[in-house]
Order: sequence, then structure tokens, then C-alpha cells
Amino acid sequence: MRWHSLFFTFAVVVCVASFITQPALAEIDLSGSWTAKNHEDAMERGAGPNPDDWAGLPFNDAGRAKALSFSQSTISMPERICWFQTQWHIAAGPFSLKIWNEADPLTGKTIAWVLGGWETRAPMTIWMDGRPHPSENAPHDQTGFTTGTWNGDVLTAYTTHIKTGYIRRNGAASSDQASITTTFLRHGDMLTLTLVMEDPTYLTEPYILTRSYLSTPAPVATAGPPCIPGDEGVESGKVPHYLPGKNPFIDEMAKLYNIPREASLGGAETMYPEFRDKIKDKFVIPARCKRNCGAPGGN
Amino acid sequence: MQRDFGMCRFSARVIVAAALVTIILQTPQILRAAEDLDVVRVRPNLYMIAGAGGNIAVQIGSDGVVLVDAGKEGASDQVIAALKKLTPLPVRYIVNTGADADHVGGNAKLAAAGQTIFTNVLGNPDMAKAMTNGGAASILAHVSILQRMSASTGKTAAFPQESWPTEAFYQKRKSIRMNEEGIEILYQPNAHSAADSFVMFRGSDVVVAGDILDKTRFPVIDLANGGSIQGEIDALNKLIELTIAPIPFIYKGAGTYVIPGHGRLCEQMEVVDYRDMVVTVRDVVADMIERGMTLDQIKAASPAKPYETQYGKLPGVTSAFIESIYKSLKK
Repeated sequence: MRWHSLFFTFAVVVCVASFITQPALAEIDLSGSWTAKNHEDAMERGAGPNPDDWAGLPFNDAGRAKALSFSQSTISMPERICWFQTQWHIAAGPFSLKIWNEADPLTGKTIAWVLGGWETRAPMTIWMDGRPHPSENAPHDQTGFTTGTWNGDVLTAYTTHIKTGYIRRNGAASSDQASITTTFLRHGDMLTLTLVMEDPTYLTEPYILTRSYLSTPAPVATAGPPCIPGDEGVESGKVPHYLPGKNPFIDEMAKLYNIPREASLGGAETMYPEFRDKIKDKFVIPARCKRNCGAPGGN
Repeated sequence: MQRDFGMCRFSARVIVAAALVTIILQTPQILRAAEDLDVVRVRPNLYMIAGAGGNIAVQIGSDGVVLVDAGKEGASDQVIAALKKLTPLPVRYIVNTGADADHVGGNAKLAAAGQTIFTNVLGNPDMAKAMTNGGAASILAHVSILQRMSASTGKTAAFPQESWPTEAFYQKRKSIRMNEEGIEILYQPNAHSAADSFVMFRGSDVVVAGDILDKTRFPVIDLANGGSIQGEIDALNKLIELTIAPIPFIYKGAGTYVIPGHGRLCEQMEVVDYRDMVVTVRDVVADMIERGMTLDQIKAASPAKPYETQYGKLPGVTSAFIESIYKSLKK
């Protein structure tokens, strides 16, 4: 093999590799106030989901067992009253967004996009300057560590180093090993976020939620109030939980909608349309709701 | 055929060139992997070294270096090299949180690489040598650690004498002040074993937890050496008490940092998560014992199921944890 020929090929490969790693120059402005459209998954984002409604969550056995052991009194533990949410709360919470960019004072280039925090979610900084994620031994926090890249006019953000949190506010947990990939897609005055959670601890497949926002001239608050824990009746050192087989709410959702228990307990197959065929013979259409629809005890 | 050979030569060139590019791009990672240690800055004057066995805390100041734990014996040269990158100052104290080899194995070499806090004012080198650990750094630990590492005359000690604590204390609380901050060593009886201590840096707001908190696995309850499930839970509750969460302004910075025996840097919430895990599994096993289940039946019923994917990845650790709870509760 001739060395000059090898050198030429080497140079070509370097150039191609360099070209591939350059960002596409089609960035768009995301800054402004964005009001959340909450009709989608309204009950879950508002009052909260039914207890033990884990349909559509790709649980593994550990994720399901963890959820079944969960008692709502957990959030009244003195250490957990101020247990704020991870960035997954963007997808599962009801709040609006304020977005702005941080620019390098010398070059004017955007070095980060920032999503302002709100009542129970910390601000999210999306670093655009190519910095690496911290080591696996670095601390985790509610914010996590997020880097972003533009793919055409779509911003893709990747978040790691988050603390434990929830996937659904009824005991479906996310671990500190979870990562969240968020894409920001703007169509004029509408902004769509797609969040993909991957969690090797509790999920067998990625879990995906989308959120839509409308641009608004009304300013969105950028930070929530401080949190001061009070006494909510759980003694310090006590750990509320249900023993295996003792969760009193396990059939509440199944009875409300006349669906089999296996559907409410989640698992990857419950995410897909084919699952409806599997349970169609076990499903009885409930009587038409007349009042308090959607709430336990409604009729 | 000529054309085919030409394509082969071209493909070979591309493969070789791509390999060269890959090697060049990967070189920093390769160098980092060779060092094998991860030095995490915890506070401006306090670091955590991971990858040398158990985690090592490093406090640096005008008095020199205070280490909490020394890692395993085989990693001492790497630890010394990492310390030299952080500061030219000598190690003055090594404080031990426990007596396991991955925490005290490096005691002898790291102490020898350090320097005693005493000066030879008497002018008698032999006396100074005898009084000052041969001029090496002091090794400070609860007496229970000394007892585990040493042996009475005529018996074989678990560790060579050079690695034994040179300053052993009997109290539940021992304190020193180095580098402008108070350092408390708080003995935790019958937890991971009968020889555990927390080390708290009061100014830096950092607690070193030793193997009472192991982020990589279920806790080891060393029943043979005095450990117990209730002692482990009591110690974790104490650790939660020692830490402060970042409230009321939850977004602003971190609370008290906790350096675990193994795994990543933590705060109070990780200790709460871990305590909750230990209590939950303990309660499930206790319920099964009350229902008359045998150890084998309990193991088969997977009482730690919610936590196995996180803390039970290493072979045998889930079984060992359940067994230690069972035996601890049956005592």
C-alpha cells in the first residue's frame, strides 16, 4: 500500500468525519412564553391518574413491583415533602414554559437554551457548546445534565444525571439511571415537545409522551415558590409502603372501566394497539357516565 | 479481476485510515481508562476518588491532606499519582470508615507517602520515629477497626501492622480540626459490621458514609463481624439526620454531599431512597417470617423484587442481602 495514497484516504476520512459532526445550520428561535395545551391526558396532568393505572407503561417486573408497593403517604414523609420532580414533569405536568437562550458575550453564539423552572420542576439548561456529560460518579439533581444538538430545525436534548422521580404520579417510578431525550419542534406559534424516557431499572422499552404549547404574549413565571416542609402526619423514620399482595387499590381502575387487571398493571404490550385484541373478550363496556365522569365513584 | 483487486486495495486503505481516525479520536478515552481513577470535585477543597476500591475522600488545605479511607492495596500507586496532581502537600491523616480491605488496604502505602504532623523538636530521630509512625501520616480510626485489622500476640493479623490505625479511639465521637474545619468521626455500632464510622466535614458540609451506603448494590450486612439489619437502618437514619436537603430554595445548588462507600456522589435524597429500600425489604421479609415461610421460600418469593434491577445486578448479592435480613431478624 502506498503511503501517499493512504495519507490521501486518511485525509478524506478525517474531512468526512469532521463534516458529519458539524451541526446543521437551520436553527430556529425557541425563546418566549409558551402556554400548555392541557386537553391531552388532562386527568393525569391535572388531578392525577387513578391509583394503580399503569396501562401503557412499559414496566419490567421491578417497575411493576415498585409501583405496587407505593403508598401515597410516601409524599408526606418529612424528607420527601419537598421532593421536586425531574424534567419528566415537562411531559406529565400541567405547567407552561418560558424559554430563553444564553449567549456567549463575545461571539453572540448561543451556548445554552434554558427552560425556566416552575412550581415543582427545576430549570433545565440545554448546553449547546459541546461540553461532555459528567462522569458516572458525579452527583445527580432534579435538573439533570442536558446537552443539545440541532438536526435541521429540530432541537434534540439529551438529559442524564437526574435523581429518582416518577413516570406517572401514582407510584410508577423512574430511577437515577434514566435518561430523557427531548425534541423541540416549532410550527409557527405551536411548539411540540416529544419526550422519550429510557430507564434500564424499571422499563423494558422507551416510554414516549408528547406535549404541545402555544406562543403567548402573557409572561410565564420562571420559578416556583420556595418549599417549606410541614408536618403531614408521617413520623420521621417511617417508610410507608404496601407489602406484596396488599395494595388495596390494585383493582380500582380495572373495576371503574371494566377492564382486566392485566391491562392496568402495564407492561410493554399494553402500549400497542394489538393489546386491545388480546383483551377484547375480557372487556365489558361500562354503563354511560352521568356525573363525576372519570372520577372513582362517578355514575 | 483487476478492478476487483483495485476495489480491495481501496477498501483496505479506507479501513486502515478509518482505524487510524478511530484511534486518534479515542486516545483521550484510552488515556483516561489507563488512569482508571475518577477524581470528582465535591467542594473547592474536597474531592472524591472513585475506582481505587472503596471511594476515597480528599480534603486539602494549609495543614496538608486528610484522606478518608485509602482504597485497596493494589491501587495505592495510582492514588498517590492522583493526589500529586491535586496538590504538592503531604498526606497528614488517613481516617478509616471501616475495616474492609477495599477501604484500608492502602493505609500503609498512603501513610508512608505522607508525613507526620509532629516535628522532631527533641532531636532524637529514634524517639521521633517511634512516636510518629516512622514519620508517616497518622491513621485514625475507631478501636473496632483496629481490632478487626490486628490480632493478639501469636495470632495472624488480617492486615500487616503498617496498615493498622495508629490513633485508635474508644468514644462514639472523635473530632479533629484540620485545614480550618472541624472533622467529626461518628461511630455507628452494628450496622454494615461492628466497625463502621461516618466522617463529617462540618465546614465543607460533606459526610463520608463508608459501606453503610453502597450505591452499587444491596448493603452487605456482615453478621459474622457484628453487622445487623436494625443497625444498618439506624445508621442510615442517622445519616439522614446529619444531612441537610437544599430547602427552601430547592433549585439553588446542592445540599449536604454524601460520599458513599461505593458508587456516585450522593445527597440526602439518595440516602432516603436507600433507607426506604432497606426498610421496605426488611418489612417484607419480616412479614414472610411471621407467616412461617422458610429462608428458601422467602428467597423464592423475591422480597427484594422492586430493587433487584438497581441493587442486585452483581451475582449473589440479592440472595446474600435477604439471607442477612432473615438471620438478623431470627437472632
